[in-house]
Amino acid sequence: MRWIYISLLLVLSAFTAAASTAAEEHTDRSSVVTQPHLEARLLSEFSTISRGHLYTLAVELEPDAGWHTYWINPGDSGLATQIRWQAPEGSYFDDIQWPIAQKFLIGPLANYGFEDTTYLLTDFNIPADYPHDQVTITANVDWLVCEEYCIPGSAELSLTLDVGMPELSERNQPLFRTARNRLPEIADWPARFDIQGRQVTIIVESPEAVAMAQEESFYGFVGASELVEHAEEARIETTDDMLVIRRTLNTYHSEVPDKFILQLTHDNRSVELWVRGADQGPGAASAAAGGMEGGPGLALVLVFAFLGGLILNLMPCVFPVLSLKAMAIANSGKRQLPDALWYTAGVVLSFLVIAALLLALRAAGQALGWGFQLQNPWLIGTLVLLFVAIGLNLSGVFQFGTRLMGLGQSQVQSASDGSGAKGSFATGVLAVIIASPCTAPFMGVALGFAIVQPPAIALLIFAMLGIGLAFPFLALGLIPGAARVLPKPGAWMDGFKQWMAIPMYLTTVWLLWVFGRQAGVDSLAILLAAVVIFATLLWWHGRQQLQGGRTLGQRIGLLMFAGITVLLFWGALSLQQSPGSSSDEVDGRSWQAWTPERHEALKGEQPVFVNMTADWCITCLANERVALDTDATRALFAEHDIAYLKGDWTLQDPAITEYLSRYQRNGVPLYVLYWPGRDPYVLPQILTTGIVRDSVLAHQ
Amino acid sequence: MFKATLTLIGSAMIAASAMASPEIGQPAPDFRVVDTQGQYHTLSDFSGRTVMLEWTNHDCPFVVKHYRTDNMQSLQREMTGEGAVWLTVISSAPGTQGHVSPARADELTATRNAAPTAVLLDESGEMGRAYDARVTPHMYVIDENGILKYAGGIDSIPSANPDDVPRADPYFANAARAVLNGSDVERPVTRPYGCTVKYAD
Repeated sequence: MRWIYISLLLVLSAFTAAASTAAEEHTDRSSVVTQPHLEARLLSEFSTISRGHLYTLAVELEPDAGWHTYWINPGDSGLATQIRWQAPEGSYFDDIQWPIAQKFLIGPLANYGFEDTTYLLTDFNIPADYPHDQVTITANVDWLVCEEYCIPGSAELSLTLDVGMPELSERNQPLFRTARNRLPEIADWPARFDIQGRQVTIIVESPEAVAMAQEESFYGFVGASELVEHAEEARIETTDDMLVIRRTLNTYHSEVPDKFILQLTHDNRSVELWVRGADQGPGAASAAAGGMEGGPGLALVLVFAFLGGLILNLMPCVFPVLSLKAMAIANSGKRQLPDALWYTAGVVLSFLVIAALLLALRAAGQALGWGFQLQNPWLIGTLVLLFVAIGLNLSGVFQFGTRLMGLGQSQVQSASDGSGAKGSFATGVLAVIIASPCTAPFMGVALGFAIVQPPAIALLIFAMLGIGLAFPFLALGLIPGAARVLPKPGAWMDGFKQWMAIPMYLTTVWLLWVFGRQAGVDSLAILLAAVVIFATLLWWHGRQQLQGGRTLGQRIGLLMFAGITVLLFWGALSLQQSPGSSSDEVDGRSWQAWTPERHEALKGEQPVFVNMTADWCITCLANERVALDTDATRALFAEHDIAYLKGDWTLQDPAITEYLSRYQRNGVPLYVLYWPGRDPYVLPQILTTGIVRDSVLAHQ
Repeated sequence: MFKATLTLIGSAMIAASAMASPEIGQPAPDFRVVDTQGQYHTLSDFSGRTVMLEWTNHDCPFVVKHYRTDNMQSLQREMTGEGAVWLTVISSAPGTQGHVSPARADELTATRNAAPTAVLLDESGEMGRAYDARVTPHMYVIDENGILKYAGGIDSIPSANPDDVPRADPYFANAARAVLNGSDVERPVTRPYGCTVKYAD
């Protein structure tokens, strides 16, 4: 009997041993590690996983009631839980997916973390070429668990999964569902922050964020340590589509993060998104400018400038004129190369002149960007007439005389006679002039970059742009066979030319629109009258050309028409509404651009509110949205006849730099209220409509 | 006008309350706190000498990390050896973790072989709040003119793991040495890490 008993015992213990080894070899849960006030284990969503694909693991932390562990930003004290993973080489582990945080107030301080059972989810994969059919994964978890006082703890948690056809772990499913329910939604709402003085401003551009902020229980968890004062309440402001969160800068703030996560939560919804630093301050801009002075960066910019110039040839305002000119040159036979070179010289020189002018004006303190020529209504008006003339010429209403710039049919003659050099050069100049309405919108950004470069480099970029614009002609001149690619001239050219008038008229419409925005609808009407008279003049001139001569009476008539055109033109420009009151109505904005001159002119007469801002300044943007561009403030300014001047320091305008230094500032925002007969009053850097109103009322 | 002034004063006060914390380069807040011998100390008592402040709570694992490795004690010996004053401050309210009787405090100093100039018993938390001390250990350096030169953590690795002490960048020690040498502090503000100071509510 005794041997039966012993063998039974042996069999039994063998069984238990086998069972326990099997459990160690393959398990979707680690054993529970018990530490003071906290139990921890590791769970896998799948009991069998495949190679090279992402699966999810969860570290489960179960603190005693009333105890908590910490979020990625623990707050004023504490430590975020950390996990170090051990797995076969080549495995990948993502960051912890943090659950929705809670805030714990401890006396004057605040912490962020998690009470109750907490799941820290992490995505992972094992390499695609993993050779074995089981894999062991170990999490070394370090935490700090606190109630009144804190106890650090750590655990090594291991589990072993089968490798093969993926299979869900039935028993872990409910736990992963719970875990995912506690995760915030991930949103890609654009969000930025900056620091001004002791203030951190975060803006989230999303109507959904605005809607969330209306809830009583709304809170924004800032996922950067020592950025904001955790215990202090946020100041929340909203516009239709922008949430502004203002927090006091943390006393122990020492490093500005590039980005951090922000959890926006209320009782029924939680969202997590990234907040990035504002793009660049003036320091960064000039650093970038400095970096441009060497090798590859500059080369790349030059290549882009060349390509940009090349593309200009296809612009609707340029293509009609140049395509005709190209065919004329190509078919003129002998003088192709000199013509092409003269043309190139005309283009490049014109670009350089405009660039030099721009740089000189900027150096003199004018806040100008490329396209500045389009900020001048006189120039726009002139361009309107020029485009009407080119359009009517292409439509065949009249012909340019050979003495003029050598457009249209006369090109054939001018290219083959002695005046070809002059004509080609002039066409180059003209090409740049008519290209300028197209350059402004398309190349504004790139050229804005060029302007902040040292002058030599800026000029080089402009020259490259010119070479790009002239390139098709250069190619025609330099490559002997190139001309043959172009279609032979013939009667079709006349039709083509007339079709090409349409883009010219459309460009005219665009210029008129720009003019209207600048000068007002009254001026626009008068300018249109000038255009009609001018068109009539050209049409009559064309009729006389066909008749092959004109009488004295006709000459006087033409002169009269020209005189009326000039008068109307002048009238349109002198009647343009003063930028003060009128431009507001026309373009719906309540401010004018700040210039020292305008500021001086207005200061004695009426109260002036100056806002110095920059595109990269989030605080400025937030202030404008919540305090300045509001109906209340617009009404306030209108009621007290306050002129609102806005200076844009995005590109470090030296005049604004000097203005800022007068108020001992080296950065924006700066808000100053001038009331005639009173000292200037500097407003706080953080505005509300209330602060603006009270400042105005206090100083009137 | 009156309302406007009120609003402006109001916003100034909001700003001021945020600024109540000590500022680098500004005079450090004065204090008057009793030590374990029953003697009162004020900051002005030490004018002409560099003063180091250490907030402590002997049961806090982060404090334990720096005492068990002898890191804190050797800093105390080094700094006092250079003529500096080292004040260990306990702001734990009675009945909270870290609160000790004068005798117990002296016993802790003896058993841990610590070498502060004095251990201050800030039961009311007044000094702690004036310095905006948040954690233990929280470290400060005040120069001989009473100007605050450093406020923040003891080093760069926020953990309770003693093995991290030699690996960390010793922010406080660097700052203290710089002030004693009369040179500039490279990082005057750093992240303070540790246990919350157990203030009376």
